[in-house]
Amino acid sequence: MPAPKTQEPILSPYYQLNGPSQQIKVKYQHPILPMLLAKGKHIEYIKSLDTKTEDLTYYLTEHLRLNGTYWGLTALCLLDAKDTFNKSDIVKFVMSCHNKDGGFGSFPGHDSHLLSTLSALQILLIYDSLESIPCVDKLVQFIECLQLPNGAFQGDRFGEIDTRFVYTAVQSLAILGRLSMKVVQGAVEFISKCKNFDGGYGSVPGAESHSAQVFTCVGTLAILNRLDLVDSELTGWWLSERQLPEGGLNGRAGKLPDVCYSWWVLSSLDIIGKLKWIDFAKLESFILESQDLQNGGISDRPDNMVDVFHTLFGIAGLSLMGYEGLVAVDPVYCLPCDVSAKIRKWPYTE
Amino acid sequence: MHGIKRTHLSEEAKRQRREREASKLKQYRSLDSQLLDLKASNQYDEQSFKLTTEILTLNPEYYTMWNYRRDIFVNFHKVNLSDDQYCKLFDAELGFIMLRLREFPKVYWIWNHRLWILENHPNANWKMELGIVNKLLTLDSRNFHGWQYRRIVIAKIEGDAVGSLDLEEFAYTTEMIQKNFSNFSAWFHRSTLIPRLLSQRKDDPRFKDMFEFISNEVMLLRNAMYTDPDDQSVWIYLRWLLTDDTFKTGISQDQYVGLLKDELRNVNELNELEAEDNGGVENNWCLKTIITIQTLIGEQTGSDVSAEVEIALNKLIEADPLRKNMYIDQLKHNWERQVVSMSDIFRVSVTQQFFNLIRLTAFDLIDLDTGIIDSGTPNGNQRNRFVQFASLFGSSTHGNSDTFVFMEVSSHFDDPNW
Amino acid sequence: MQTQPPSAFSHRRPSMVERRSSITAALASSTAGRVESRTATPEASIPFLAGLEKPLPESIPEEVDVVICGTGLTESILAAALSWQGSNVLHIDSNSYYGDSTATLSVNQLTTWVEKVNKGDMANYTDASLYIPNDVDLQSLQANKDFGIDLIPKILFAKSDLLSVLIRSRVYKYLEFLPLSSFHFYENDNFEKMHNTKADIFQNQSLSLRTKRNLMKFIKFALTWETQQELWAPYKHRPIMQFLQDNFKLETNQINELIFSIGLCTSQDITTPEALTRIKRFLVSFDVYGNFPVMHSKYGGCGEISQGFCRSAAVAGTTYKLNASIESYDAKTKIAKLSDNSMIKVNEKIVLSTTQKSPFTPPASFYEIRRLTVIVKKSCDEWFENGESSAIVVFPTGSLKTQNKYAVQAIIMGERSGTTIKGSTVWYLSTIETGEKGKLDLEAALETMGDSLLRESSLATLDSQSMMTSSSIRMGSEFPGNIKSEATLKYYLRVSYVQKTSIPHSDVVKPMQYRRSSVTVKEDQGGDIIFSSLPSSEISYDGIITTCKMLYEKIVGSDDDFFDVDFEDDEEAQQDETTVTSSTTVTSGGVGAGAGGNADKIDSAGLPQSSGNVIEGDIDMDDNDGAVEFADDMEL
Repeated sequence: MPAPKTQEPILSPYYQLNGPSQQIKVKYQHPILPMLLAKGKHIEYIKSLDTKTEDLTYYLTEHLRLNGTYWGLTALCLLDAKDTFNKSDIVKFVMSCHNKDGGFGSFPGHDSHLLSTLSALQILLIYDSLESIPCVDKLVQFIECLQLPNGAFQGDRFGEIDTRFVYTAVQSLAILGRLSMKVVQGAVEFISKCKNFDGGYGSVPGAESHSAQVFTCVGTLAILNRLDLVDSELTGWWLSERQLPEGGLNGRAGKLPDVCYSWWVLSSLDIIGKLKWIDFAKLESFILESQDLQNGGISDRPDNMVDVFHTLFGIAGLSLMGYEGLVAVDPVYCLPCDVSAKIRKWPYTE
Repeated sequence: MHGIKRTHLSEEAKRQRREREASKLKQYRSLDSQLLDLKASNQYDEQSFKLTTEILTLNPEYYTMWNYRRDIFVNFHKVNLSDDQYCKLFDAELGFIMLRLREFPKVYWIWNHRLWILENHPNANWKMELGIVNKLLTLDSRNFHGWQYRRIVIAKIEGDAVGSLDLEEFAYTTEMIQKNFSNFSAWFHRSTLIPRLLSQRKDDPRFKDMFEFISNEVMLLRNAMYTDPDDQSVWIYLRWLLTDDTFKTGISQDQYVGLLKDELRNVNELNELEAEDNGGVENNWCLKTIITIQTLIGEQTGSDVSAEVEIALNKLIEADPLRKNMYIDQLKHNWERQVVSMSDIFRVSVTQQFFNLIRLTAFDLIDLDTGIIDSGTPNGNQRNRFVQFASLFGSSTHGNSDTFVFMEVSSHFDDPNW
Repeated sequence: MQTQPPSAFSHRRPSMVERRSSITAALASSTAGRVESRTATPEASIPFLAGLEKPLPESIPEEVDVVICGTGLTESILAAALSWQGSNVLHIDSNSYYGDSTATLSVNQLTTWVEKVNKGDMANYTDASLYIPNDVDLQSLQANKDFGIDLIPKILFAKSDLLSVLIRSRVYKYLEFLPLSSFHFYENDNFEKMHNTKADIFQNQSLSLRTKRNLMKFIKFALTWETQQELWAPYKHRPIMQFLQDNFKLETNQINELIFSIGLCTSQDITTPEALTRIKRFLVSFDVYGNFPVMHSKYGGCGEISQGFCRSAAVAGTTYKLNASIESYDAKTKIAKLSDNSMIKVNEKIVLSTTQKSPFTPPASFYEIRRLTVIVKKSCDEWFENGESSAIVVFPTGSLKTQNKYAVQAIIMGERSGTTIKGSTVWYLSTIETGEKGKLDLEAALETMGDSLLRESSLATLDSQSMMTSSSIRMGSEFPGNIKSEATLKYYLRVSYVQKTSIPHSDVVKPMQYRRSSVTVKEDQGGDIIFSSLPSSEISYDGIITTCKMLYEKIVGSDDDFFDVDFEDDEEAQQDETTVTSSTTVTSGGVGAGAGGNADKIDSAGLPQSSGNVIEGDIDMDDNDGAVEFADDMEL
């Protein structure tokens, strides 16, 4: 799970001159054998996450449990090990997070939020268990009520606005097959305003471009069949500039690389048809270098602490690049392609 | 976890750690269940409020508890306290949030709570908030939460009838850039202010004359690009300056083209210096910028710049291999834009560039391992090129199938003479 | 290494954990700092420093592993390192104060010290003179505890071995550090502010675009110079000057700035690799803790830091005694007799600073540093960076009217350094020039600085009254040329002396040679007596840890576990502190932001002040590079 405390050494102006490559070296240099994805270890790692009930961290991350379950389950699906988790246990847990207002919290007793609601729906979709939701109308209403007059979504009733929530709302409604003209028009309008001159997108209109925000915006437009609004040459260029000499991708100009951007950047490139605009071999080795070969899991950078979030996005990035033996991932939904195939595509024709 | 070094603890160390954590864990869990119970029974009082302080200190990402805290403010304090007391409570809350933010400056929930408090504060002091965000941005000048928060705060202050703070914000970005011109967040913020300043602040000598303004900006950038020719931030901002409609349409075409040509000269010069110092290797960002400027000049003057663009793209394929495929795509794009006649092919036929063009098209169309055409039939133009190319090697391909033509051409790819 | 170490050292001595079961348990118990053997717990971790200090034991033990004489910086670090490793240490000093040869002295102590030097009672210090003008109230000056004069002033690079030891040992918690970012460079009768940070180069209007590029190009090169051997290999034994001219098209004044200011070299003849090492040291230190390369400790330099280590050593069980020295030592019985007539068995070694009173003849020290320290009645704010209170001034070769051969380096400490009173500054000048020439160079530099300062502040009120009279204090030989400078610049006192060291100048970049020259073993005492040299002419603390490790290795057998201490994770302790603070803030109401409607108030809400302790503010406890930036974190 993303740590509550996230620290990295400050990038001094001098440091930046050198480029992060000075700091992060890819160590594995076997002349013939490529480094491989330690699939078995990663499966074990994800499996072990729910057994650490004696660790304080386990409880400090309850507010992310449903998200964490989705990250873990999807990673297992991509590793072709979906059965590692017990379906009925998971579905039961998801439904225990369902609240009276129609939405899902991240843990029983926790408040509903769009972020956890999407995770819940993604898990239920993977398990073909959407019918467990007692009252879909209420859930749809919960989501729709969070849309603001300008088309944006707030994450919950307390008003945080961000293109992340547009994406989560739109994908949630898409999974439920309940997108509507009103939602779609507003969302498209708001996202268009978040586009910046460099081809990237920000969290709100006027905010600096950020790779993850590019994914939420381009992903939303893809779900809503409005990729015509993306300047794919420009956006593709900005995204390709995220790759650093050591192979990893960063989130913004002048930042360190991080495995999770293997997903945010690569999926966006794939959606706009520019997947090959970065160097696969180098990114692949950056992700593989970030594996913990002893206990499984993938970290943000080589030699850091692993977590399930980076484990998923490392594996999903490899899947997009066609890494052998991985199940194909859908760049728009971050779900296995056979799962996302079940989603009814907009515009609905009936 | 972000930026935390990986450690592999021994079983013994893990056990010791668990032991150390045990009491804390117990305390946290009992606090948590107590709070969830209180919350479920809509208990809004001083006791529950204090408990949220406790748990949020331990876990600032626990959004449900921030929610609960806000509900207590609304349902308990607001009802029971005098306006003055309520103000004081909110002031204290801002202090509490600041402590959390200092420790966790990247937690969305804390920033969001701060904003909520200020928006619901009976007497919010947004100006002081600006001072706070200044401090936080001094600690981490790229924190995007901080920059985003700053924009909200500015909008609030402006909304309080103070009027536009664009001038002050412009000065702030200058200051941040002077400190560290790699700070793209500052350049970006600047780019959002300038169009407004130029249209609304004609009273200020700096923004009166658009051409003069843009020239000054270009000089600032020139200083930066000479100081560090590899700094992305500078080049991306320059790209904005040269391509934004504000300037394209705001100055005369002569001025605009003059500016482009001047900058092209300058970038070429820097690129030459770079090549000279780096054993002939040209600077990526210079090359990229040359393409941008050449394309703009082409657009403005109607002249054919494709040859220049092609040269730069070919160099980039070598100089910036990470993005090789992008340049190859752009090269093809550039090529498709040209009207190519047979005489053109002859004119350039024996140049390296022509070879590259042919090779690229071939890569796109045939699988070199199998020789199978895998993306449809080439169009007439493409086929003509291949025929021409093959004939350069003395191969006669007339009347042969497309597959044969491509195989013939590709057989020369490894020719060392090329 | 080719030579086999002496048999006594051929095996590494058992580490703390191996030898002394649980130091934790022992310390936590009430046995005041003295450690006894207990049942081993293999993963003993050392508790958080604070709150463990015990009163110093009254009596001296009968038997110890190591006796260290002299509480100078090197010896104090050694004492702490040894006692955390598990050795029994007796640490004594023949002076009545801590710090020995590297002490930070009050005016009163300084007066006595100068007398002692001139009596020949202070080995390796000679030719001292102290002058206090007659318009200064001598008694109140001597009584004033606000003055702290470093015998050997030093600055701390933000990325250096001493700093990482300070952090690893937690000793930094006893200290307070202030930033120093202002480097001045004297040339053509003018003080130039250094322009060698990226921001400076970018902003500087006087540099041409090409010069900007060349300078930055060199700076980038310097950061990774070791890996670009093909470029500098031909210059391996040649001066840096030549290398820079040939490869970076830099002009002489820029090169001088790089060598003398950033590199803090003392001579132009320094070889290319040595100069590059020194220049890189500056660059990598920049922005580790903030927008400055160098720090200095508050309330004094070496003296303050050595006391920090002494406190740490005391926590780990070292016994301390001042006003004590060794009277005699019998190498056969290994019994030492102390000045208080007590007898003590020394199991392993006696380490002696060369300035300590002892029956042994210290080794000769060949290298001289001439120092001149002046407390000036002027605040010198114009030399300090905003919010700071210290600066470096460098006079490169040939820049003074004396045609100085070696650079004169000066450290300026202002009021906020806690070593001088309001409205005054301490100027520490030094050179490696010897004899009369060295004196003249320093005088010329002092005069130049004084003139410049008076010119700058345009307050040159000449006061011809403050000439020397019979009532003014004079010790040792007189200052040549002081009449003129005294006429223009007022001061509380000036002191000048020669300090000697066995460490060659500018050897900081050659660790092996540095090690060898900094430690001498007296073989005639069975090799039991080890002399440690006074610090070198190096203006920073670099080299001190090298010496300490050398000494440590001579005693323990290897420096592998030098401060290899596992402090208990004090993250929790910190967290608990925060808990307390934050709830007080909330419950007390109105504390912190929002209270007064003044943006400055937010400091009370917990943001660090620029003047605060630069390490304490932002440090990450895991001994990494310190200041933190947070990764962009995104959840979906």
